[in-house]
Amino acid sequence: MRTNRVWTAIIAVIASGCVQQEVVSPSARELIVHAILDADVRTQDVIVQQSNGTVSSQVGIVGATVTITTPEGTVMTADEVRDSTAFAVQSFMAKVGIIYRISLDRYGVTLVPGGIYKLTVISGGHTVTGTTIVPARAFVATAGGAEPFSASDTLRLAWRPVPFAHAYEVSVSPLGRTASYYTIPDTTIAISGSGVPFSAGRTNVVTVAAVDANYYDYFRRSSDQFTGSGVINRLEGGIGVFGAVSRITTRVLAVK
Amino acid sequence: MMRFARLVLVSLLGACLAAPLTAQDSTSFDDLRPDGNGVRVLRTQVSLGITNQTAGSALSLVAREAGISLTYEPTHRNFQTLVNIPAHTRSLAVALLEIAKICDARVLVSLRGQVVVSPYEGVRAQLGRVEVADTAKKTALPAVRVEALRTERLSFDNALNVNSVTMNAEALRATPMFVEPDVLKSIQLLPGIEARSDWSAGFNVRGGESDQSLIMLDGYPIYNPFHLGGVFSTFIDPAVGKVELHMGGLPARFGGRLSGALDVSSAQPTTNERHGTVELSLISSMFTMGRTFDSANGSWLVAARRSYADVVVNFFQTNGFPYHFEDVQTRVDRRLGSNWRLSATGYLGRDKASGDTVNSPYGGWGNSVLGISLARGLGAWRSDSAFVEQRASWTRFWAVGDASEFRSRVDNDVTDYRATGSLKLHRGSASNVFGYEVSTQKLRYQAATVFADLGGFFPVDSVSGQVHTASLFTENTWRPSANFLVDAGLRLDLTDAGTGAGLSPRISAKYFLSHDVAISAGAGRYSQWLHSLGRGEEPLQPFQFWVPTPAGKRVSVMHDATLGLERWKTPTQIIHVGAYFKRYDHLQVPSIFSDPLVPNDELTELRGTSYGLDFLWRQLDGGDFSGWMSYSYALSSRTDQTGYQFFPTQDRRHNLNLVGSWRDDAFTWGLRANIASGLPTTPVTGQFSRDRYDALTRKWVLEPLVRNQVIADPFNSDRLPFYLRIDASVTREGRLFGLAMKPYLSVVNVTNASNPAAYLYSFSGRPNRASLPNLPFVPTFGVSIAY
Repeated sequence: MRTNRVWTAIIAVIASGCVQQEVVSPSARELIVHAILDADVRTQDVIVQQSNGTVSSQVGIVGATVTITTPEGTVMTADEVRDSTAFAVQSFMAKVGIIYRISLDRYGVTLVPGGIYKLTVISGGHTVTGTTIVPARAFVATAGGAEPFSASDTLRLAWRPVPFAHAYEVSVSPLGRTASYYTIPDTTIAISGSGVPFSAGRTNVVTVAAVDANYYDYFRRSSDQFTGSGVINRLEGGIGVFGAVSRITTRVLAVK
Repeated sequence: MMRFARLVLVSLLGACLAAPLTAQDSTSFDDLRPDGNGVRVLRTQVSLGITNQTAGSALSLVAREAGISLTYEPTHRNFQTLVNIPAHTRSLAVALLEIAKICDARVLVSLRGQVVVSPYEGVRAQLGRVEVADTAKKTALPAVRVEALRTERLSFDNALNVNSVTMNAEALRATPMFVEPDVLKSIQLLPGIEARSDWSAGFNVRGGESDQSLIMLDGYPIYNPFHLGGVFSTFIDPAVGKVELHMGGLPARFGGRLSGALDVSSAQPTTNERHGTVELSLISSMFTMGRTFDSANGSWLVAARRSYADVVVNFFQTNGFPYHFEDVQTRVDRRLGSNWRLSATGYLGRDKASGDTVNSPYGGWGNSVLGISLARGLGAWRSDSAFVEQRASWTRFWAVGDASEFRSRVDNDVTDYRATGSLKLHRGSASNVFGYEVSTQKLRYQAATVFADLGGFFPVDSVSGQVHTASLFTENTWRPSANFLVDAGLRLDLTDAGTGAGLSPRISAKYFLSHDVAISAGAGRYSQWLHSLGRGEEPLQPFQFWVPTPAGKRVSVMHDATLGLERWKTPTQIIHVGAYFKRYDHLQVPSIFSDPLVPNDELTELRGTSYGLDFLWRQLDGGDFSGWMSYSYALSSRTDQTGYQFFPTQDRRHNLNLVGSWRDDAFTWGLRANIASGLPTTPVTGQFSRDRYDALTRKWVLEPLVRNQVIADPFNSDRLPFYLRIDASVTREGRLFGLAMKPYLSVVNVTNASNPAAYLYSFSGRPNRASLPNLPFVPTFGVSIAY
């Protein structure tokens, strides 16, 4: 035990001599926009935030002009609302309380599969724009209650390709716990019951959704500290995503 | 009495020859080739015809004509053979061989220019000393004045070494070492060469990307010759005889790479007694063993190494460092009859890292090389002399990393089958080489993870395929006058990987302003159709992940132009200045937008240029001091498809290396100082939280795994600080228990200078950045034991 402590101390001394830390001042001034068109809902939310480089400073901004233009040329202007229920609030989450919400019913608009939609956000003299293609609606409700599922099982899912979808997202949501997401290009997936996503003793909901290219690109990579690259940002003038999803199926599993 | 006198004289001559040779130059005597084996004087043109004279008289005549001394036994019966040689102009080497052929003798030459002509059953010359097998035939030989000719000087005199450096093992070992001697780390101290960090696999040649260098062991390709993610090379140092590095103007026999070619040659055993070394360092032990056999007509060498840091750490903490590597390298040469030579090289290396449980992450990688060469002299077939050589090789690199708990796996496999043949014709002042190369590479790369990525070090992608390539090449060297040397080469590559390989002409010329000063110029076209998926800007590059140019895309192409000036200040001091300009077209580099969903998008095209100036002042070994000072200025820029122009990560503008080795009786002191301007880096200016839309709850949630993403300034728009590193070493030579021992102490980064290789930013609390350091202050020690 003593030799272990000595060894650990030696490594700690060497490591502390190797790595130097210095205080830096973040200089980023970016508009951050998160907007996903959901083919199955009639109100679409857009989150607009300002960041000065630190996560804690990433806050929603007021007074922005947010519009979505349909393929037919209809310009839908978002209402600025305060709705904290739109977020699965967590203590470490960036502060978001302001939502820019568009009611499709107000404009008599139905999202058209394959249609190109344009987002425009104007705030403080900055303009952020992006476009997306909405996948076709493909939701198929599953009947019955929760299926039994054990850790020794493997969940195998397959679904038909959805028109205008670029890729698919599979999420495993243990009720009351953080969900796991898999963004994949394929129409099949096998998830081991012994792995990370499932939570034993709980109801786990598995959801499959079709997503567009922006959504797929934005979430399929994380940023690389060394190169400054990673997240693929398709917005012009800001950072974030303007994407689209269409839920395909949901399965409820009672995990033992 | 006379025999005794001859024996004494021959023994004295042998001793005189052996002493300086073993002390300064381990090059052996070898059969003379018509090109003079690189000894310039043997290319002297002689005009003569000989009618009905004894071979001995003919040899004397030729020697007198050329102004050289040569050693032979005039009373031997073979030299009484009558010789008739038609009158015409030929090289001295060819003239000697013509006479030797008639009188059934062989001509041996050392790199120092010493020439011995002997009947086949008589003198054997090897290992830097002349022996006489049959004492009954020993005779008084004329005194010979021997002037050392070094490999470097021979290369200067006879080769178009416009952009190449040849270093023998002694020079390489003179540099201070990190833990243990390493060929590739020594190479990085030469002008024009540099690496992204101390932790990178691969090196950059004259502004090129790190995957643009062809690395070979005895001429056979090896794809990832590194251990521990680039910290050590796979080459076992005592088994290395010399290295030849081409930094531009690549000869036509080298294809498939744009910027450089490094050929590491195995050491040649030097005695018919079994001998070798055992070396113990802090992390590994290695041994070599070799000998010649069958009167020096054959030799073999075996070397092996294993690291034992895992064993040492395990002593303190169970499975505390579950990693080790091991290598075995072997080389066999065998002369078959008078004209055939068979050589074989084998290498097997492996790294292994694994946890202590079944589910622990594990990784392993390794290289295997097996190459065979069969060469034959064809006599005077369509030339003064001709040689043909056929080579075949199999090379494999494999790597696997698996973290099943996190459902992440990386799998890479490269298998290279290659056959190369060449015909060399020597005609007086010209030589021609015609060759072919056919190769197949089987490539497979698969990386998958449930995470968004694997940290940038392992691109998440899946690429597999086969590449078939057929190539023809010719190299033609012509010396129109004693002061002028021209080399014209042409290479035709036909490959099913990408398009546009085609014809690659290469030309270079050298003009001797004086006996010690030469200027040179060269230009050429090069193409490359295998690329690494490893991103150059990553400070840690564990491997080069090789993939082919995707179908339908253009292969990378580079055109270069070089100028050089070389001056021998003294017989042991060289000054070399080289300038270059390189233009890259269709340069294929890893794409940051690569999508596993989309085939053939893993590479993207850049264009760009690199130009610069290299300076080298070198003091050759042999005296109390040896070493070099090198300085490189380089400027590289690349332009992507959007028109954005940037400095690539290898764009180090200034790089100064001072390398010295001082001998003081039994001690040898080594010093290496490197001062270099900073490499480009991308500054991170902030972070943001990536929110995720949940299609089930239709609420926004925080990204569960990697929530904070970076906000960065334009790519490579800033630079790392200056790099300063001073290494020092001391070696003591002595004997213990009858064995030659060389204990050494080496200190890396004596001043413990902070040399950031990259920065890690954090903006979630108090904003700060931590530097990922290059090698810190590390003292190491070891011992080399020769037996």
